[in-house]
Amino acid sequence: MNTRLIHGLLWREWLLHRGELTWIFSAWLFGIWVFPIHPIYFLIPFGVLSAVVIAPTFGGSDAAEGSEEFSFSLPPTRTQRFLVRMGLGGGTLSALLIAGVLAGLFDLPQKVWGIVFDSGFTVPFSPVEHGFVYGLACLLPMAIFSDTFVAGSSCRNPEGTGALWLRGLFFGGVVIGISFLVESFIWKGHLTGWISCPVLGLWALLRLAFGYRDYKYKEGVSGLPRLVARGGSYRWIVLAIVLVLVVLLALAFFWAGSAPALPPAPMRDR
Amino acid sequence: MIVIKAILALLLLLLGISVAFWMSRRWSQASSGRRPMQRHWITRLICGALGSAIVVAMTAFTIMDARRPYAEPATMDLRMPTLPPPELPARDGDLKKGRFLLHALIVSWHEGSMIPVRGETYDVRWPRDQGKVFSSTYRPGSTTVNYEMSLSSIQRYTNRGPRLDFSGSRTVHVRSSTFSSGSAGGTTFPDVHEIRDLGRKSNLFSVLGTSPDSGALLMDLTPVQEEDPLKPGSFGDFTKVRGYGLWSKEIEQSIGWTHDGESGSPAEALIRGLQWSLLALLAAAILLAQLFTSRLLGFVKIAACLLLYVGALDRLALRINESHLKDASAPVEQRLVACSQLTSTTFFRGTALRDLDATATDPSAPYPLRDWANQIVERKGKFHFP
Repeated sequence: MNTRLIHGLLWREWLLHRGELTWIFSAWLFGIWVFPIHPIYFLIPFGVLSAVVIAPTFGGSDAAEGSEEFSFSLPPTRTQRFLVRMGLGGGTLSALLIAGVLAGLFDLPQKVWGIVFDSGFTVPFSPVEHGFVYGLACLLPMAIFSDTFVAGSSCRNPEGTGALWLRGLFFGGVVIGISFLVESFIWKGHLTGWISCPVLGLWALLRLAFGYRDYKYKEGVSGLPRLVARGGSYRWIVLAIVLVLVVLLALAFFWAGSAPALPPAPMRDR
Repeated sequence: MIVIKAILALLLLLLGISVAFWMSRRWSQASSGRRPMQRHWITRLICGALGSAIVVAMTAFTIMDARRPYAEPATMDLRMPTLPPPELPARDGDLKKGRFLLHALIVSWHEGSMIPVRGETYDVRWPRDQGKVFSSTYRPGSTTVNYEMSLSSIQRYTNRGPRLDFSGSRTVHVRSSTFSSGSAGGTTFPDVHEIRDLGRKSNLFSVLGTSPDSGALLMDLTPVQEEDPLKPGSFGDFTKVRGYGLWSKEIEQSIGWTHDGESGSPAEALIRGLQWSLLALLAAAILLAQLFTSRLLGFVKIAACLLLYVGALDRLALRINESHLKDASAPVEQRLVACSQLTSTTFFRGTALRDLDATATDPSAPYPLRDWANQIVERKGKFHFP
C-alpha cells in the first residue's frame, strides 16, 4: 500500500471533516475529563450523536457532492478510500469511546484532578447496576456508525445522503430493541447484555463487510443533487420522529430494566 | 432594588444579544484576513472584557463571602452564671421561689455545622415573672423569626433526677417570602425549633455561600443562684452547659441532617458545591472561548482553567477560615465559626478534616473549640471523603 497515497487521503479527509472531528473531540474532552459526567449518562448520548453526525459525512461525502465518479478516476483505490474513511471516522469514534469507558471504569479523571484537589472532583463514579452498559456505550454508537457509514458509501444518488442518520438511528434502535426483547424473554425480564452486545458488534461488522464489498463494485455518483425547495416544517418533522424514536427506545429500555426480580430458586429436599 | 435588578438583567440581556450579533462578523465588510475563523477584534475585546469581569467579580465576591462571618459577628446578648447552680429543693411539688436564665439562640445549620447568628438571655425571677411573656422578633434578611414564651408553673419531682418540669406556653413563628411556619405548645428544655430559611441570599458570583440556609432556634432554661451577679456569655459558654453533642443531636432529631452524598460523579459534586455560580462560570467560559480561533477547543481549555481557578478561590477561602481557626488571640465564637466554616469547602475537604482533627487534639485550644471540632470530625468521618 502506497503510504504517500494514504497520507494524502488522510489529509484530505481531515481537511473535509476537521470541523466535526474537532467538535466531537472537544465534547469528549469536556464530558470525560474537564467536567466528568458519569460515563453511562455521557457516553451513550455522545456516541450516538457523534455517530449520526460523522458517519454520513465520512461515508457519503463524495456521493453528496456528486464527485464520486471523478474521485474513482484518481490514483487511490476504492479499498484505500473506504478504509481510510472508516479508520479516521470510525477509528476516532471508537478510540474516544473506549478511552471514555476505561476512564469511567478506573476513575481516571478523578485521579488526574486528584493531583490538585482532594474532594469534589475526586468523587468516584457511582457503580453501575448493569455492567454491560459500558459495552453498550461502545457498541451501540459503533453499530449506528457502521450502518450509516455503509449506507452513505453505498449511496447511488446525491440526494440519498440527506437522511442517512435517521436510517442509522432506526436500524440501531431496531437491533437493540429486538435484542433487549429476546434478553428479557430468556432471562425473565432482566437485561444481561449477553445477546444485545454481541448482536450489535456482529451487526456492525456485517454492515462494514457488506459496505466494503459493495463499494468496490458500485458505480460512481456524478452530478449535483437536485435543488428542492424545502419548507421549514421538514426539520421539525424529522426532529419529532427522532424524539419519538428516542423516547420509545428509552421506554423499552426502562420497561425491560424495571421488571420484578427473579423469584428465588425452589429448595430441594434432600 | 427589584427595579434596579430588573434593569441590570435587561441590560445584560441586551448586551448578550449585541454580542451575538457582533459574533456574526457584522462589524465590517472587510476581508476576513489571515484567520478567517477568528472573531473580529472588537468582538473579542468585548467578550474578553465581559468574561474577565465575571472572573474578577467571582474573586471579589468569594473573598467577601469568606470574610463575612467574621466581619459581621453574631449579635450575642447572653449572660451566664458566675456561681455554681443552686441546690434544688428536696421536696416534690411546685417550686415556690427561684431564679432562672432563659436563653434563646438562633443558629444556622448545615451538614452538622452550627454557626451562631443571634442570642439573648432573660433573667427570670420566680414567682415574680410567673405568666410573663418573654418575646423577641428577629429579621435576618427577608425572614422574620418571632417567639413568645411564658411559664405558669415549675415543679420538682425527686424521682426524675436533677431536673425540673415546666408548664407554660411557647409560640414560634417563622415567616419569609416563600413560606410561613408556626408552632405552639408546652415548654420543655432544651428545645429546638426549625427555621427552614434564614433569609440570607447566596451570591451568584461567589463560589461559597451556596449552602442551604436553614437554621434553628435553640431555647434553654437553667437555674442560677439568687445572688449571682452574672457575666456576659458567649456561644461557647452556652453550649458548654449542655454540651455540643446534645444540641447537635436535638437539631438533627428536629430538622434532620441532609448530608451531601459523596457519590455519583465529579460533575454532580461540582453542581452541588457551586450551584448557581456554575452558571456564571459557564458564561465566563463561553465569553472567553470567543478569543480562540477554535472556539470549541477554546471553551474546553478555558473551562478547565476556570475550574482550576475556582479551586484556587476555594483554597483561598479555606486559608481565611484556617487563619481564624488557628488565631489563638481571637474570641472563641470566632474560632467556632471558623470551625464550622471549614467544612463548607468543595475541593479541599480532606485538608479541612485534617485541620479540624488537629484542632480537636490540640491541648492548647479552648475546650468548646476542641469539643466542636471533634464533633464535626466524627460526623464527617462517617462518610467517604476522598
